[in-house]
Parts: sequence; C-alpha cells; structure tokens
Amino acid sequence: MSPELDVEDFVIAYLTGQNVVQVGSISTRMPPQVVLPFVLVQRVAGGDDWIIDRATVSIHSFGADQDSASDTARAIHHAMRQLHSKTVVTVDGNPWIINRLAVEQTPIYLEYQESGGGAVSDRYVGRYILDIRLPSILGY
Amino acid sequence: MPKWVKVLKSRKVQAGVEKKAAKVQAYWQSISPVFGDRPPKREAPSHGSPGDYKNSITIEDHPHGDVPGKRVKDTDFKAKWIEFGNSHMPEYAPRAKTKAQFS
Repeated sequence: MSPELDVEDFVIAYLTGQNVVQVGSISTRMPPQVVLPFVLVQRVAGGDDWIIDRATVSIHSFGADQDSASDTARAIHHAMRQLHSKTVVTVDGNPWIINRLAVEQTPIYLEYQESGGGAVSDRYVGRYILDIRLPSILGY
Repeated sequence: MPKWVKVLKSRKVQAGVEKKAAKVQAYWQSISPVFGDRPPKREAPSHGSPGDYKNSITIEDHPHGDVPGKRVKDTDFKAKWIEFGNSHMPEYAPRAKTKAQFS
C-alpha cells in the first residue's frame, strides 16, 4: 500500500467519521443511479512542495430539493470548519492530520443539469484548501 | 499621499502588475478546455462557438481605492459549468487550478 494519502479519501473518512454523511452516500465519482442525499468529493487542483500537499477539494451536496441540498451542504461546511491541526483522521488504518484548512468557496447553489438539457438536480458546491503534511522523503 | 501609495502607483510597480496579470491570463487560457479538444459528443457546441470560454478570460482594471490594479476573469456563459462541472461536463476547475498555481 502506498504511504501517500489520497485527500479525497481523507475528506470522506472525516465526514463519515463525524456522522455528517452516511457511508454509501458519499463518493469520489457519480454513481449511475444516484440515491439522494448524495455527496461528491473531488480534488480539483493543487500541488505539493515535497513536504506539504496543498489540495483544493470540491464537495458537491445533492438533495431531493434545494432545501435538502442546502441542509447537507451546511452540515458538511460546519464539519469542515471544525477540521483543525489536532483532528486525527484515520485512513486505511493510518492516522493523518492537516496543517491548515481554508475555505475557498462557501457552498453555493449550482443546479446540476442532466445531459441534453434534461432534468435538473439541486446541488450546492463548496471548495476547501487542505494543507496536509506528506510522508517524509529521504533528503527532505 | 503616503509613500507606500506612491510606490504602488509607480510605473515600475504597475508594469509588474500588468506583467503578472498577463502571465495569469496566459496560464488560465492554456489549461482551459476548448470544444473539440476531446472526442466531442455533438457536432457543435450547444452554446456559442469553440474557444468562447478561453477567449472570455480577460484582464480588466480593478483599482483598490485610487491605486490602479488588474483582475483576470472569465465571463463566458459556460464558465460555471466548466469550473464546477455538470453531468455533461467534467469539473475542469481552470480557475481553481490557476489560483493554486499563483498563490
């Protein structure tokens, strides 16, 4: 198993560990058949300097209606804002902590339209920047 | 006028701001998706023309008080879809990638 951390797994482990989202209702990819409420976690940007991984992570909250999507997004946002440098999150049996969290985008409403101009789902999107200490590499 | 405002307004600093804005714009455009750069699902874009998003990334004046400044922004109709994704579009996030590159 790689000693490197997948930040998406970190966020999912944190949110499910906080009981904000149920396991099975959160993923890094959209399932073919979405059961609402559903949360999509995607790393979209950011690199590392061999010591700190600075990841920009999008969290999409889908709901049966706008209120439901908003409730999920606010619960997640509240949990994310409580994530700090002493919060230990276990991923694949290994403990991880962050150095810093910044809110790049407080959840905003963005409708999610099906292909070809089909049905519209209700969605909120928030973005967070997580600085995570990487495993040591010889020479750094 | 305080000395630091004078410095910010100086030609040298303003030239640096313009140079940086041009650099940010060039990077943002370089990572922007253009219709047809991947196998397209349709013959033509459903809105506008190929390259509309890329060409919409422009530099505008963004003064802070009376100190001139610059801002790089996208104005295309599809900008939110391209930035945050949709069922028919991946979350390309070129704005976030540009921000991460320059911060």
